[in-house]
Amino acid sequence: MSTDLLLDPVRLGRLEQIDLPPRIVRLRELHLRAVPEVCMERPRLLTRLARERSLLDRTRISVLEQARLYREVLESREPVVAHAAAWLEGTGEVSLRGEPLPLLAGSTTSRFKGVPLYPEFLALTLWPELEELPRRRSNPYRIRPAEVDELNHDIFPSWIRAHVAEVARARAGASLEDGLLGHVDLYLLSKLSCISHTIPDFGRVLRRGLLDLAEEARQRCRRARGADRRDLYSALEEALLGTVAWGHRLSAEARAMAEREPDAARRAGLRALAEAHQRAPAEPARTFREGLTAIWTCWNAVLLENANYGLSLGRLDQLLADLYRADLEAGRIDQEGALELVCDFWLKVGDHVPGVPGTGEAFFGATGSNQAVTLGGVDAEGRCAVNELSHLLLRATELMRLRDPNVNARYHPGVNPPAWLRRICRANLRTGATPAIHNDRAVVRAMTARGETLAQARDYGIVGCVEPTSAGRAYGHSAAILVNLVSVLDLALFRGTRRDGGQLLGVDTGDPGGFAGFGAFREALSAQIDWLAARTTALNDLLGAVHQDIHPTPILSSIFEGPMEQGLDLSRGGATINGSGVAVVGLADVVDSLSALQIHVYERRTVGFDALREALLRDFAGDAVLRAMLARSPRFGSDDPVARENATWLLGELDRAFGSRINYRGGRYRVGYWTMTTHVGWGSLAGALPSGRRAGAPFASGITPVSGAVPCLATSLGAMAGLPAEAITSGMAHNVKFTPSSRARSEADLAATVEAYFDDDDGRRNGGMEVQFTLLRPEAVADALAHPERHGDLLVRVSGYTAYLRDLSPAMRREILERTAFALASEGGEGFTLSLGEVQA
Amino acid sequence: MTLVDWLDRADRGLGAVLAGRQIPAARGAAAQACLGLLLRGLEAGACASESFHRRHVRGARARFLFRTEDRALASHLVLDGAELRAGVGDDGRPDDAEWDVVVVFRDASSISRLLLSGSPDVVLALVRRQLRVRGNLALLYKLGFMLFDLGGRLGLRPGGAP
Repeated sequence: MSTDLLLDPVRLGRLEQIDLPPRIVRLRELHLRAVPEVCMERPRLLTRLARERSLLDRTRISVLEQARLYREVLESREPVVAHAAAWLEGTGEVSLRGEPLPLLAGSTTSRFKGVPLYPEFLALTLWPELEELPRRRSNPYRIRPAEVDELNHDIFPSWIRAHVAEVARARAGASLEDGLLGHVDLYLLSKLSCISHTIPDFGRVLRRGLLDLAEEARQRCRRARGADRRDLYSALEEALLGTVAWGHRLSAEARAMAEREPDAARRAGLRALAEAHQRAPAEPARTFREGLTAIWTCWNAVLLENANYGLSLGRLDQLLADLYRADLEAGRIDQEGALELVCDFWLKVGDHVPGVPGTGEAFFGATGSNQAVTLGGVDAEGRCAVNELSHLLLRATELMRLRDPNVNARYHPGVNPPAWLRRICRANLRTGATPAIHNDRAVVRAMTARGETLAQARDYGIVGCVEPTSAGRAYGHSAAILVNLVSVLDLALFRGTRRDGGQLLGVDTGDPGGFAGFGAFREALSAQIDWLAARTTALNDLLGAVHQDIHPTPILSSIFEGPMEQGLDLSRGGATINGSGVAVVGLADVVDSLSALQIHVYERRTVGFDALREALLRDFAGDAVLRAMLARSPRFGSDDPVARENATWLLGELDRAFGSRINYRGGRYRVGYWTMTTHVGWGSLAGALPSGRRAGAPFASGITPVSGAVPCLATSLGAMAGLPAEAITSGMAHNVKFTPSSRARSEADLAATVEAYFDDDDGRRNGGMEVQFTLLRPEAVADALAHPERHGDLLVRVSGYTAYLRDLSPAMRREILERTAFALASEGGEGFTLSLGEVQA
Repeated sequence: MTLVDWLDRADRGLGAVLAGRQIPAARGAAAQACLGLLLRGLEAGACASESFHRRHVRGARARFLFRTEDRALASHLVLDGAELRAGVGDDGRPDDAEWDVVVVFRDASSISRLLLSGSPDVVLALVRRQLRVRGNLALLYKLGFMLFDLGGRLGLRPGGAP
């Protein structure tokens, strides 16, 4: 693509002037007001068909059986072109007759905003609260009494012995029961709910169309040796033809609606829909609209198969740029038309929310599906990949201000124009929270350290929250394991037991009071990390084997680089790149605790270990002086060499312990630092720490320093930029909260801040890998808390993803409010901490 | 004030009294009574209400054992496809493997804390290690739904039918 047309400053300036068309304004309003409704279509169809095929009592389901099942679902689902009704907050059910028609047909559920249920995974956790769902305080879902009865009587009982957790438990017995349920304060394993967390290869969908891919599968099947391979190729063909059928059924429905439509404009709109869906994704996409239609239709199919936690859309500005350009040159589209299509697509992508039980809200509260979109950066050859479509997608993002998709921007210092960074910063100022910004140089370094080729690494997209993934070819399940690092520190402090005593859990590494020095304490912690890595990766591998046996993924495999070429389903290692991810929670709190132990217990000996341990168990009651002294220890995110050295050591240890292990698909484990809302959930359960943190307080989010620990932003960013990128192989979420002053001034300051943070000092440091902002004025937050009904779209950064402030739990709101806030335009970037009380006052 | 509120208050009061007087036996007896009351409540619901029976019992098969870690307290509940039966003790089946689900409470206090919390949350209790579970969790979710329904029918929760 030539940059002369697509990075024309005049055209980019014109883009800035485009506002939302009225039909999108209306659709957005409906979207924001819509209450999620439980969708029965998927569980109903899947249960009936699985029962008819006697799949529910099987311990192994072949990939071909699975593909045939899904194809029948795709051929049976109701093809929704435009929803007939929605349930709106404060209004109830309203008819959508006469409302604007979408530009893309299809829906991931049968509801306007649906909660899809996956009984083969964790839908059964909703069982106890089915009747309470519409009334629960946090993120209620609408469900009809007859649907409660159907789930209770028919659907859920069918899956009691057929869901992933139970199949795994029946296989592994007591060890898994202890492993899964006995240690939820230490780790969570997400294969119980999904694998997800990847990016399909939409490039091949757009270039070739699904019919061509199906033909390739057919040909390969003829040549294949071995029943398993033949099954796989037949399964890919079934999956591809099922997706084509879904597109054609949407097309037919749109055409039928057009026949009945009296209004000429709406009739024309429906015919255009029918035409686009007839062509895409069956054939190669010829236009920008067909490109979006193809991706969206495939997305419907992929979500039928895979629960959506972090399934991501990839580099849309790269995938669609040629189609956009061709349309522009042929006069088929203009910027306004393209922007409207993208806004429509954004709304479509957010047409569902994950079904989370009440308890899960504490750990994953207010999350959408975290469907990441990635913009900008460099191409596989290292050239600037920013184009007009990157800007257009960003413009759509800031105009729409939606939780989903989770938009991420890449910036390669020295390759991408500084104007691109300023544009990203402007979008942040306008939305208050998005997009997150990733440093290409540091990310590519981290990915190549784990084995990706330079071209594969440069073609990364973000998955879920912040995890870089080679787009369309890496099956990384970056959220496979979530680890509470603070609990691991506890094991080192308390000889391998929890602090409330009980049986040995980790390794008895001895009484830290008897250690000769800090080095011995580090060794103890290292041993506990090794224990945790061995345990969690073994459990993840066990669950992975269950996925292989009862949940192969022919649909995702059919549009991915690797399965077709290797004749292997994704669940069995068919992807070009395999891996599993570990998200570490509580890093800053543990580094701070290590530094406090080093200084005060082992070097200066200002407090004995036994006295410290007693103070921790008392939550520092009566130990204010000791607590204050500990809190003055070197802090993570400062330029103190003790803190820096402890951080570097700990990151290295975690990378060594997990990164040396090979998973059940033959890929390595990778470690990332993002927390969703687990830092609040786990923090609420944790006792006092040597850092001076009190019991129950939230941990720091992501890889962010503890709030208030490092008051100078420049110092903090400098320290964060020095972290070893090669040890952070599954992304990081670094939250920075600003209170903006004037927009123009703030934009320049923000861009300069990011530029300085990303700078690698001529190779002497890595440069910051990622940063994400929350840009809130205290008065805006106070008003949002007082009048949530007026601020339904107020976005905040949680850790990795954005959320609507009103949806967050009180504890999570408090954590965000109490993060260190930096005055963006103030001299020296001195920070201050905003307390909840001050905001509310 | 709902019955749940009342039970909450009663529990706090009872807990304070028992803790203050250090009468573990009495606390255990209270917990056993609470658990028994709950399971018997389900049994009564299934006997007395055709709709409750139809909704939760007919066709359902599951065996639940509830006990403390030291096995000093135990109660059970059995769904045999046609009837719901509850009782004290382990029903002559001391081996955990004979049960579909075994809920092991850390101690008697954990039982009353969970059962009288107003909105019992098994997962949170797991996180806090007040209990552990052996067996098929989905059956426990079903049991949770039954209890929720019973609470509604008895008017013990907001929105529930009195």
